[in-house]
Amino acid sequence: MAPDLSALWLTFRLALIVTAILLVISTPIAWWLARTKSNAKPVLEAIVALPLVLPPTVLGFYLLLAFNPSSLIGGFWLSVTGDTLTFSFIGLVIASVIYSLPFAVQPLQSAFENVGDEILEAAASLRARAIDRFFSVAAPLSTRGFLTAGVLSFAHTLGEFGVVLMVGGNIPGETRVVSIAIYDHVETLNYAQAHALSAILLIISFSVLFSVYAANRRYPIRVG
Amino acid sequence: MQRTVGIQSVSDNRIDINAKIAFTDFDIDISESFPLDGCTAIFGPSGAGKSTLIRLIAGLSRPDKGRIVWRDDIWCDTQTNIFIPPHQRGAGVVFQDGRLFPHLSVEKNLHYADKRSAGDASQIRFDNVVSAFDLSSLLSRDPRALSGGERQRVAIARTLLSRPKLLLLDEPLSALDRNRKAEILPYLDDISERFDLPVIYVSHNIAEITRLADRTLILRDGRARAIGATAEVLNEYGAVTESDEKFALLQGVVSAHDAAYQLTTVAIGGGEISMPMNKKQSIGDKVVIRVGARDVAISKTCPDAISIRNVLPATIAKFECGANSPFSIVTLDCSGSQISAQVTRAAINDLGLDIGQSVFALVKSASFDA
Repeated sequence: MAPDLSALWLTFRLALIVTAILLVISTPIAWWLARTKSNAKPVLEAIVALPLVLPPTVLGFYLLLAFNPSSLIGGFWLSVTGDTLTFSFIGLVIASVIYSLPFAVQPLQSAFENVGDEILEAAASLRARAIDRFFSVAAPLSTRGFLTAGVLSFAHTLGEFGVVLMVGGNIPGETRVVSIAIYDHVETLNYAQAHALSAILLIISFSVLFSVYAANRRYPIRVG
Repeated sequence: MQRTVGIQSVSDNRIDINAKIAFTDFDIDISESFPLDGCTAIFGPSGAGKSTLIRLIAGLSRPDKGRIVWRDDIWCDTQTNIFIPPHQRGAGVVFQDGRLFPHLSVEKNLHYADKRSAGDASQIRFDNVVSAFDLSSLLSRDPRALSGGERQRVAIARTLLSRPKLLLLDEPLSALDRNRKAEILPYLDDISERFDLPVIYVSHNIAEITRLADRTLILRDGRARAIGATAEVLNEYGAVTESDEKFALLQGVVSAHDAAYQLTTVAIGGGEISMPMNKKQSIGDKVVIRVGARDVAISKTCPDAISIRNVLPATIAKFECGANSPFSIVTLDCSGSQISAQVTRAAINDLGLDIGQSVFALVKSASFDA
């Protein structure tokens, strides 16, 4: 049971870190997409949405190539940290961030679009500069978008399988996440373990989602 | 093209606008320089470009080409690529729909502006503004639960608390019904003097402008048509409204009420006009009355057996007629006040009317312009 506990811990740690990183990097991307009139917008939108349509194995395959120590990125990482990106937890984090990017960017983008220029113009005429307008008006009005983005990123990373298999392999305590562990158990016909792990993942996932949505209902966010 | 009437510049509060901006269905081309003391109205029908002009001044829109200078500050110059963003201009805008922050209480909406301008040398104080707009009972309210009138009061107060150098009111009353408008108007009276800042008031409502503005800029089809003292400019250029009905605005004083016949008498210039009684006006009140050109007839002699009550001695000042119209608009001078009469060209010919001739203006009806 011990290796399974470590798989669970690893999975939640991965999901939390990835969610935190995604919220930070998706916010400026989503803000730009929501506000820009640039011709480059559809290009970036398509890139962000790619993980939605690509099979995880395709994404994993390219990431594997990029993370390889003989590649530019992988080599640079190795020379700076002395570690490889492939088959490491950091590599898993990077891959998961890319894989779950649309689940964070899209809800944020639509929340930011809903904020509308009018209210931001009002803030500007009250002497709030751009960064101030974002934190004092746009962000509080987009709380629901942040919540959705966070929950979806977390849940999506929790359930990730194909990309992890490609770039992370199956190293206990490092890259062996729950979905891989379950796959392993099924392969070796160890159904009891597979059952236990699946049930735990199911219950925890449901509890997280339920508490978030229940809190959202009890304390409705003041929007619109 | 356009005329400037009776403007004397005595202060540095001057704005220079020289801006072109093109949209798919219309364009704006304004080149105007005028002093901004007291309250200046921008008047024109919907679609004339009034809001765009406000947005250009506030920095919420950029001209395709042009230059906007406030006092000595160049706010925008497309030739030298200068553009001061709205939050640095100190031009506070009150929008038609208030645009209160829905996630903040009324009090926090006011604080939002207050704390961002706290360092400014200005006489405007939080408590003074709250009491001037009677907001103390609204402070804890959710802005989405306010009535339209309350919302606009908060919006105006909020903008004042941003301690603007210039207050821009973009049709602040147009989303309100008549009664709500009447509620808010007293808060806007003398707002420029009370808070010691120049005000630009955008409206397509003549009553509001006559009441609030010292000076009026008439805008039509994206072009400035005239600027000058409100009453003069409106009489000269504002008369053709959206309905294309010509009328005159007369300033007068309520002199008597006749309850038995339900009539109110208003003294104007050298004469009197009686009109349906309006209890809201008390004796001695200054009022603006509106006389439509279609309600005015001309007689060469003073008629005695006639149902029309208002017979004013007048002199013919001007004829205007369209070549393909059966009508002519005759401008009559009634001891200082000007009235327009719409009569047929045939009648003018038959009566042998001419400029300078003494006649009688028969005013069939008039209404209070409020």
